[in-house]
Amino acid sequence: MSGKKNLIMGLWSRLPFEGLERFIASLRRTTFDGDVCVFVDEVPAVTVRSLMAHGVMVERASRFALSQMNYQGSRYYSYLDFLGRRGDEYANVMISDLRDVLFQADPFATELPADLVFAQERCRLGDCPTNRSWIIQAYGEAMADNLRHCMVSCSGTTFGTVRGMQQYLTLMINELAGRPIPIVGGMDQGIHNYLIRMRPVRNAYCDPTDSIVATMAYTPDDAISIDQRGVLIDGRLVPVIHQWDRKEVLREYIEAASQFRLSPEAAPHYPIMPRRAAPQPPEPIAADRPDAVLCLYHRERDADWLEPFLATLRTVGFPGRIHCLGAFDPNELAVLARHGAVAHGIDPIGGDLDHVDNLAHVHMSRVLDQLAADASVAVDQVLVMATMRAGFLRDPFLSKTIGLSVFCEGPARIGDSDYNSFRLQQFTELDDVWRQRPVVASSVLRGRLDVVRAYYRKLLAEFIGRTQLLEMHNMIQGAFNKLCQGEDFDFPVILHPNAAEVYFEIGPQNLTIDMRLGVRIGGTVPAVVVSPYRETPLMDMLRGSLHLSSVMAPN
Amino acid sequence: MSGRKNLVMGLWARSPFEGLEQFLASLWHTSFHGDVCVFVDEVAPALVAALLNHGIIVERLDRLAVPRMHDQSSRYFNYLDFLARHNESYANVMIADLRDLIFQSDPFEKPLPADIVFAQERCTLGDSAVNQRCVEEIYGQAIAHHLRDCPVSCSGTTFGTVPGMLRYLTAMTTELASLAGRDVLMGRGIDQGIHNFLIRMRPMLNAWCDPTDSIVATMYYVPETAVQLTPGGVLVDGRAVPVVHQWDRHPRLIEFIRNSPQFRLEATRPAPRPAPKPQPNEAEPDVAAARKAAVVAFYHRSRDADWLTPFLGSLRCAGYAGGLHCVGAFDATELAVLARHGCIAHQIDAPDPSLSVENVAHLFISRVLDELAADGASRPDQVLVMDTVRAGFLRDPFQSGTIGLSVFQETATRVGDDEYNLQRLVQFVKPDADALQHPIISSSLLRGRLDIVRGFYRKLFVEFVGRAELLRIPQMMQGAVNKLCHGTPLDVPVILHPNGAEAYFEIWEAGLPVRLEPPVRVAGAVPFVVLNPVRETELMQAVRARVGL
Repeated sequence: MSGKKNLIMGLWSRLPFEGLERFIASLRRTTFDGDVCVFVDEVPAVTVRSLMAHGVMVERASRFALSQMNYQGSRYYSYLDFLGRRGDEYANVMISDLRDVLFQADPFATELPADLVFAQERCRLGDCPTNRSWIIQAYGEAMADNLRHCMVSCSGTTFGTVRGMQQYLTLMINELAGRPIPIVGGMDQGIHNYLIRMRPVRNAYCDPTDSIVATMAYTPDDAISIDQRGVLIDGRLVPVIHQWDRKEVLREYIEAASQFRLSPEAAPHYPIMPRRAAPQPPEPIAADRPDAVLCLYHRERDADWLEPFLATLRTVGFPGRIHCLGAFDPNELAVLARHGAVAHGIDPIGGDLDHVDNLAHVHMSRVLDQLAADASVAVDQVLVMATMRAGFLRDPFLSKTIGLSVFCEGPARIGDSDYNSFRLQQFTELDDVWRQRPVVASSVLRGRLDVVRAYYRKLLAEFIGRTQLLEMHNMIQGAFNKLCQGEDFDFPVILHPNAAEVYFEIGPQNLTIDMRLGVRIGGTVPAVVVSPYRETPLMDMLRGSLHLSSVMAPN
Repeated sequence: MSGRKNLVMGLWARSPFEGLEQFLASLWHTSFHGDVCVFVDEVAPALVAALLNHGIIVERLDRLAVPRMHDQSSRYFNYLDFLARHNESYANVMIADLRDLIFQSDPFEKPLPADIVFAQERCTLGDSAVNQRCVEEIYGQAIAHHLRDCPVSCSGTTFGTVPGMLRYLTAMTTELASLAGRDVLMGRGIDQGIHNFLIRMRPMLNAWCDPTDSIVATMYYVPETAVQLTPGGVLVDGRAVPVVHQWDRHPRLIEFIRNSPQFRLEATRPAPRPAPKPQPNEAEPDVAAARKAAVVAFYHRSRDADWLTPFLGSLRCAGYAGGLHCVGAFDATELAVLARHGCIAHQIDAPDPSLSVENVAHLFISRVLDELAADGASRPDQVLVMDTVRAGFLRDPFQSGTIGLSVFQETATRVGDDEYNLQRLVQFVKPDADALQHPIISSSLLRGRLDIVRGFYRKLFVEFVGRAELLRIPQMMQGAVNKLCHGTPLDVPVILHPNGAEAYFEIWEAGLPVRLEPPVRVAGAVPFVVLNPVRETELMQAVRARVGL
């Protein structure tokens, strides 16, 4: 466990940032030096920005939202997915309500007494009509009677080792999935109480001693006192106070105390580096290196796209580097700066637009070389985009993988498209096997920096002695398809279908677009939507889902 | 990750042990030294015994509250649950079909090329009618058309690091959960459609669908000409692939594998299997350590006749592989039953008939615990003590062992509402109004770390010092147990489990819904044990039937 950080996770939905102030401010006053991850849904962009400014990781909750339950229920899926991706970095985890939780000390300052520690309230299930009704809704009256002697456990705060938390979350998602009725209101707490009593988790403990958290709803007033140390429960300084807003004396104290306020001027400094626990490893590991998005801006083509591109990318929680190439004017430079993007000025690309898609890659490969040569810039993966006519729905590196990721434009095959057949023929002989292959887009690429650079070397070699090809619109796509589907690289080339990672809103796709649980295309949430048009219904939905409609109204 | 083992998991349902022979024999033939966990459903007790005998971890499939679906799909919930419980014990995991798969070398001999490695077949989804239909049934025509050019991935074998596998299983179970209620989930093989949708449409961090057969060759679409049979094994495209899946799709392979001695168990390695190596880091929790447990039960012939076999049989069939100790005055037939189930007999003289059996049982059990504690070699970590064998098991009783002392509620009835229990409690304490509201804790079983249970016994017996006459009154021990567990705080947490959660006492009219047809459930949960003085209740019959007895 040595050297690993601790983690706190929570969900923030449909509420302004101010509601998080006490949680974050009080936590930052303790010695806790781990990570905080907040899953957000239906919050304005400024909330995401403020969270990142305070060093909080942000993920979108909608990716794991299920139609048969509210966000309270589906948050457990997001938590488990996060631990599946990053659990190795952490020793202990707290999952927490955010609005009414206050820290007085690092909750992990003392070793956890069990793999899982549940918060116990001072009331029996049978004596609490609300909790009893949640159990009745989910399991029926006989079960509520069976559990009436058990003390209520509050699902709002739970602590565990990574292993313990994974066990708990696994059981919670099994149990949530197994209920034949919709999960609404606070039913997840009913399920939580059923689970911890009726399906006991290995090495779990429902803590009656408030050793880490005191849940206030049933704590008698005379057990609460306040002195210069903070809030004392039964004379003891408990690390975490939950439901502080249920007690008037606490509400008055906390709302008046300046130590529970945050600086309103805080702004994020990109890239936001993950906090690292001591001792520092001698070499930076991949998880400590930020990812980078590299994109080319061409005003004649991409006018009005700069703000939506950057704002959506930051609002989905992308904390890494953004490098933009282009011939920028002062207004555009200001937009880049506001979103923490580094500008790489180039001379304007002359001639007609036909050049742009081809030359974009020549320019971007140069910037990749610069990044590789700059020892102060340690980048893990890069997403290269030859266009900025795109909006983001999630962090584009959430599902990064080995090798080079390339992206199909749609179900059409090369043989079905004269446009693509012609381009491919310039680089290879077109036979029936080639005609059956899907069309790979040349506008987006993702992979480790060295992998993408190696790819570019081969790509640009295709044009040696044939620079006239660069005069033809999007000719680079022919070379892309030849290399990605033919060449034998020493790394794998991963071909993603349209909408899996990148959705090209080009031509008929027939995929269902669903807005009920955030934007879903073909049942999934792509990282980015690329479209030549800014004002399509889908682009409107995308901005709406990120609460960016008003800040990015068309000029 | 150093020192951690690797793990292979699979499902075996409604088929005899013989079908596992090629899988196991070929695996034992390699240098693989990890664990194998088989989830079983509707199999004979002999099969469970054979698996345990080969050092395989056995778990029951039906423990979880999984939505209604085919067990080919519900297995992902079990895999995820197992991995979440034991993830610190393992480095890499393979989930595998078992019937049509052979090993030619350790699949984890080389580091995995990605966190998750999917098996890729030599066919696109659009060209495979069965796979196309699968995707279409679940996700509709547009998605099936959309994915037509993606190569099929077979869900029958997937490899991953533990974090990678957790990501994959989380994605699979989340997707299965989102489809809950749809009849399509009842179809066999539907999981492959979901698997293919997920790996293409919801790509996972650091995952790779391997077109190079670097770990597994899935034979269905492999042309005959690519397959060579040599004395060294099966070559696919001239290469000995570590795992060959769907070998039964090629007649030449079938003949080769059925006739080769390395695919016969008796020709490979004698059972039981040697202990896995390398040994895991001692600081890390480990499945083997978790399994270092003991059940200590008291047998009294005049009370428990006819219960010994169902008790022991159901415990072993539930996959329990730990120590088993029975205390009693056994005859030769009973000793044979004990030996058959790998149970150590602790022979005692017949107890004084004037004393209540339920009371003296604990005195004898505590002596056995002292013996176990004194034996450094076989000292168990956790123990379950039972003053009766009138019980049947549905799962491993230590699967959800926790800190402190676990005690078990007999019913939702309160002490104050029950004259029998109240009379026993007042012998030890004068109950106040609050104490009367406490639920009744059974004295029949206790679970906890060996030192904790012994510590509790010491306090329990102190209650009888100078009052031995109380031992003549039936079940007087229960009064003292209730006093101690509800009263003065012990120096360990006392974890009170409601009836049906861990142990189900089929004694009181509980009103809890009981599902008798498979999968057996009490109040939606699967208790590890059902206790009942009556052997032939419907539930007891269902319990025995569930574990194949």
